[in-house]
Amino acid sequence: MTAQQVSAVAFCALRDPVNTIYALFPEADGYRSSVRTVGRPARETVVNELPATLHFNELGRHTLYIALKEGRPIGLVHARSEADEWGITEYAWAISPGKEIRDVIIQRSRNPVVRKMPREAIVEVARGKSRDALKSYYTSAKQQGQSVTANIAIAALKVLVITQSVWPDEFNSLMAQAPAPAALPTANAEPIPILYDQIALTRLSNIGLDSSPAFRRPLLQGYRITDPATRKPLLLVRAPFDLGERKGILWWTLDAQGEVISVIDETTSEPDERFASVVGYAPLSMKDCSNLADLAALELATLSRHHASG
Amino acid sequence: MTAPLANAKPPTGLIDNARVSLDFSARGLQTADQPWSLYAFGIDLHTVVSSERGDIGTLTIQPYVLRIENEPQRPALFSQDSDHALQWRITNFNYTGFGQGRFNIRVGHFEVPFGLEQVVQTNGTLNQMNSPAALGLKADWGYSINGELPNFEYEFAFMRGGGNSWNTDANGYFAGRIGLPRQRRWWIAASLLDGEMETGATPIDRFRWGVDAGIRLPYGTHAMIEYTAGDDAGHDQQHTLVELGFTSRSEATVTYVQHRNSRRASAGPTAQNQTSSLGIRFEPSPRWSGSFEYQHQHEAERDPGSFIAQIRLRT
Repeated sequence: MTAQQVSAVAFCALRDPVNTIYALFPEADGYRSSVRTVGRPARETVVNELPATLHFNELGRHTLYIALKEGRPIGLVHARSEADEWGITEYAWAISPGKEIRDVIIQRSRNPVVRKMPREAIVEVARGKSRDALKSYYTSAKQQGQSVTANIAIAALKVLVITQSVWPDEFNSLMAQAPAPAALPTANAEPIPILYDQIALTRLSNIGLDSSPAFRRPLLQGYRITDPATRKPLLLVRAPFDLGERKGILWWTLDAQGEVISVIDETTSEPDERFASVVGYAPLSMKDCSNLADLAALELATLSRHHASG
Repeated sequence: MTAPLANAKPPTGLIDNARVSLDFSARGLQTADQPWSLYAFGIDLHTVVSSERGDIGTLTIQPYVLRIENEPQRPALFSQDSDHALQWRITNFNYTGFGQGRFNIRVGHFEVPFGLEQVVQTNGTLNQMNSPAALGLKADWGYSINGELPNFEYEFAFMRGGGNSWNTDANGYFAGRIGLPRQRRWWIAASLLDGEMETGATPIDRFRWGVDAGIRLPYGTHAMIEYTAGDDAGHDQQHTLVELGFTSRSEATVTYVQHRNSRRASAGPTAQNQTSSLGIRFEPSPRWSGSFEYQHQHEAERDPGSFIAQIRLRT
């Protein structure tokens, strides 16, 4: 029984959704719990902002989980139950550094359509959408009689509104926590919620990079930054890598054409000599690659060109 | 870039993360022979102790004062048919600072890790599992290692053997359960218990092994089964429980049918008992619940049926 299922039963039934937290944030190595009261103010906020309400059974003490990596918060996990014509569906939502839905796991559902939906189809209803985009999606889905996707959209909206209302510190301060080397131009960095979106994955697949030889993709974090000298947009990527004897965290900077500007080691804040050969390089395809460093540069160059194109 | 989320004041746990409830229940059993009643009043406290680097552990404290009236088959907790006693339901600290949910250490009074008792919430409810019958007790003082991994969950404990009482002449016993995570649509698990416990006048050597399984079916239906076998000081024991239940769409109402079968060998004749139960629990709000159960003792020579009703209030 998760923290959200407790009704008139004893608190000893509470269990942390351990597997769910690590499934939603595979890069996490820990989590922190924050218990707050979802009360009348939250209910009024939901009623005022959304075409929805909070049933009195949804009120009470609830737990928000802050996913951690090396002691730094990397996102939020909030489990909530929503009712539809079939009964209760329990969602576990992952909220990203961009304060949007990053992922969701259905913990249980009595709705046969929801049970059979692929997880990716459920996630795509809400992933990366702003609140206004989710409201538009919900309205459109309701008008078209698509009750299942409408319910998913309203559930996502409620979790974002309630999380901000009840846990304002954790929600409003949500940003990537990576300590970037001081030399990088990180002022006004804008986190990219989904670095490997579907189009990026398609572009990588088209050049033969269905999987990454260099990176564990869920661990990468991307940001849009601006070159202070040229005012041109750049892509900044924090990329952990583990290649046997070569292990560490590197910060890659690339321009909109995919040219590698710098590769900085997070630990030393110095250029990484092992990747010195790719600085100034803008690989376009596998033909331009002769080693693992080139392949890493090709993957990030493709991402840079994709995100620069909007 | 800064780390503003780290600037959000992390909860200290004991106060910020606390859940507290006063819990009162009144239960009555009506049989042809003798009606009895049980009243319970307690505090249910649960909190998560956290630091900036993550959760440290979970503290649960549940002291309850119980009062029985005219109960001839009173639990060992009581010394007379009408009596009162202090019961430590679930009272323990589960340290999670090592493996963040994967490897925890629990110390205190907790459910013996065996069978369906691990996955079903039975404290203070009429819908009970088989641990009291099959093992002799539900909860005990001890320590355990426990955790949840992607493909299995586990708890292995060493327990004192005195149940609610810290003082015991028993040497203690090992109990453990390992199985598929309970959040799945279906699960199966294996359990083992071996050692000495004091559930009667004197300590007894007890060995049990068990298998339990459950499945969530469509339309709010669930099914569970537990089979336990072993011996008490060389006398064979077998216990079986099967339950089929239904939960309403709003989850405010749960109905269930149970069948239990037990076979206890002894120096005298082997005792065989079969009991069937039909129960309903109504929880219209987080504040109160009402339950009702009919039990039928198949081997009773006369008046096999009894009715139990309970109302429970929580703040």
